[in-house]
Amino acid sequence: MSGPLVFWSGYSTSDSNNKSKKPQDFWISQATARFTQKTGIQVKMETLPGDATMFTKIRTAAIAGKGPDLASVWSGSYMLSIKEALEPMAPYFSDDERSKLSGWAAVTDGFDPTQKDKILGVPNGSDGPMICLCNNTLMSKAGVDPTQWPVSYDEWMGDLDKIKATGVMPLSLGDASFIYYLYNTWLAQAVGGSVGIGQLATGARNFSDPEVLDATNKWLAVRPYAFNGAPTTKDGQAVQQLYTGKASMVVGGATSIGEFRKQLGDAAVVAKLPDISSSVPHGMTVGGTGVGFIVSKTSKNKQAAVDYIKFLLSADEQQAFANSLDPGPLAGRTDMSDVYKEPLLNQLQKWGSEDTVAFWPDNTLQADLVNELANQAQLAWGGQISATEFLSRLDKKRDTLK
Amino acid sequence: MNALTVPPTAVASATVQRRRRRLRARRAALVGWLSCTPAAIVILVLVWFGVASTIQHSFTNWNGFSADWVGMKNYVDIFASGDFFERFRTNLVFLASLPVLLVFCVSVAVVIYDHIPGWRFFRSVYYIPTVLSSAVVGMIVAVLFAPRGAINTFLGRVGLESLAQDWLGRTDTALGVLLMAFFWQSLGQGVLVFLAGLSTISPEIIEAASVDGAGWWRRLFTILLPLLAPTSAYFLLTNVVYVLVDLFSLVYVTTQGGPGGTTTPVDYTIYLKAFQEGNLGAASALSVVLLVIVFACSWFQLRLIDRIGE
Repeated sequence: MSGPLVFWSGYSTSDSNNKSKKPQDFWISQATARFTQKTGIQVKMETLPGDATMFTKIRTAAIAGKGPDLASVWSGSYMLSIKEALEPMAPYFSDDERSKLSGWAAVTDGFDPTQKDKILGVPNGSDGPMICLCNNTLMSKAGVDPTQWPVSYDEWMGDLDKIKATGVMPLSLGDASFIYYLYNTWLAQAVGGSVGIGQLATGARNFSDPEVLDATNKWLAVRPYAFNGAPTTKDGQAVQQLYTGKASMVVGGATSIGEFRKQLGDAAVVAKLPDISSSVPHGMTVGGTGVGFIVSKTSKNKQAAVDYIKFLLSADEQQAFANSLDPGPLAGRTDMSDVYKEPLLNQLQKWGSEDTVAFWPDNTLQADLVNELANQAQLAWGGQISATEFLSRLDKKRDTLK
Repeated sequence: MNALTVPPTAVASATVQRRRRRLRARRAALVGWLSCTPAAIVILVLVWFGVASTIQHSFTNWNGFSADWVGMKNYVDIFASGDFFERFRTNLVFLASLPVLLVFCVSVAVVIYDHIPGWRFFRSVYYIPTVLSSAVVGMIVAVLFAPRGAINTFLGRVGLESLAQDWLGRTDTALGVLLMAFFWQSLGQGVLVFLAGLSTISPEIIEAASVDGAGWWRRLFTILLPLLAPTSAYFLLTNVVYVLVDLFSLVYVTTQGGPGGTTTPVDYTIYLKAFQEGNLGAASALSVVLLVIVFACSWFQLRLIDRIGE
């Protein structure tokens, strides 16, 4: 072992809603301390940015040969964009160990985990599905019952009308939720799920196809039901509108549930987004294994890094993580169920294991295409370009990448 | 021996003196070379090695780990895709604003130079933003102009809610906000430069113009601005280079190039291509193109400064 293990962590060790919470109060710090106590291996933890700039840090460090021993990063095409710097993981995991963790496809080059030599990371649980986090008190006043969702798009819009009539803004959306959660859910529904998203990436089908255009127009029709400026509002700010009773719901996932329950108490309800049309798979959501652990090819402590990952993903530690309600992915162990005391998280874990979860489109599409999608979506949402123009620009970008 | 004959001792003395002079000159040259060498090595390693490496990688599809030779493909892609012209448009908007900034800076400098009441206070007020980094200025502006930021809140409170909008979510208003931040940050530096320029102008000239009946604006445009031409040239040269290669931090913090990449300048595009898309080869080619543009602009302006000097 040469020096302490250097871990670039995506786990949060601060809480903007509870400033008295110290880094050592978070599960990741406590789990790391337990690992050190058990093995004698010191771990030096550094925080990674929580957005795509995490790859700026990792890429530059990897190029300079100064990368960490291990890191937790976004999975799929994000992670695979630095695949040359990643240690293949198959030799470190037995078939039995692999079978106890779900989501290996998300950390495999080509998304096919049967190709063992192409497994370049370790799946870290699941983000669960992206769903509506609702204030049931406000919705009840409008005569809306979100526990009966998912409904059809038209019924859902009718519910938004009822909520708006009570003087409450139905939706509060932020820079990630308006596109990566809301639009991508309906995009995935329109193309039939992960396979369809893969076809959009390769050009086997087009963004301009009628079903995608229909979904896009319906997405844009939601604008009057949300606060102005979603693309320039941070998701953390958007969710405050829900907590202060100014909005009846946000679109998000498991990572917000702890605070959501704390703020809204019994009024906290989760519900699936509507079906964008009658022909799409009922109740389809996006999500899945959005985060994975990676080990640097240049690490001198590869085995220790893998041991640390296995420790964090062990049943005992995953149970401790579940009990902490710290923000992070849902437990992804196949030998664990109903691990949460919080029923909403158990609900999300159940939904997350359904066949109707499409893997994150932005983790599937090429990085350049994801950038273009985010850019053009902002213009479309702002009314600067039409849905048709938005989609044709995506097709054009995709074609230039071929 | 005659009168024209130089005694041998004198010849020897002159030879020794020549040798000494040569020795002193050599020693001076050696000291000069030794003094310059460390700086030259640092510049060679940190600047020119980087430039040479960038030029080399611009002909490859380098992703940071491996690179294959692709010839001129990266350069062809830059101009064929149309992206470059879209991104360069943002730089051009800033370039076009420089004359306005110049007049603004000169006007404020003259007002302060005229020692209006409270001029010391205003000089400090205008200079404060200069000591802040672009990132800090950008952050302040982003918070002020956020959808539920201070500007929209203020408009709502004074009954002008209809004017409240997503300032950073529309191309025109986002560019306006960026320009405002740029002006705010550059004003203090500009005012200082022009105050220095004004101190070189004889007060008699300005007094004579005043006696002859020239008003404030007339004095500004017909006397001060022409006499400040060398200072203006310097101000423009430094700011042209700034808006071509240094907008990154301001844009990154304020709009992140949005909406839809319409406020993304070329230097920010280089960052996106290199570190978010992983196309370091394409980013290198774009860097070389930007380098050529900056060199060309600087060369043209230096020639202009020489002309003004003549």
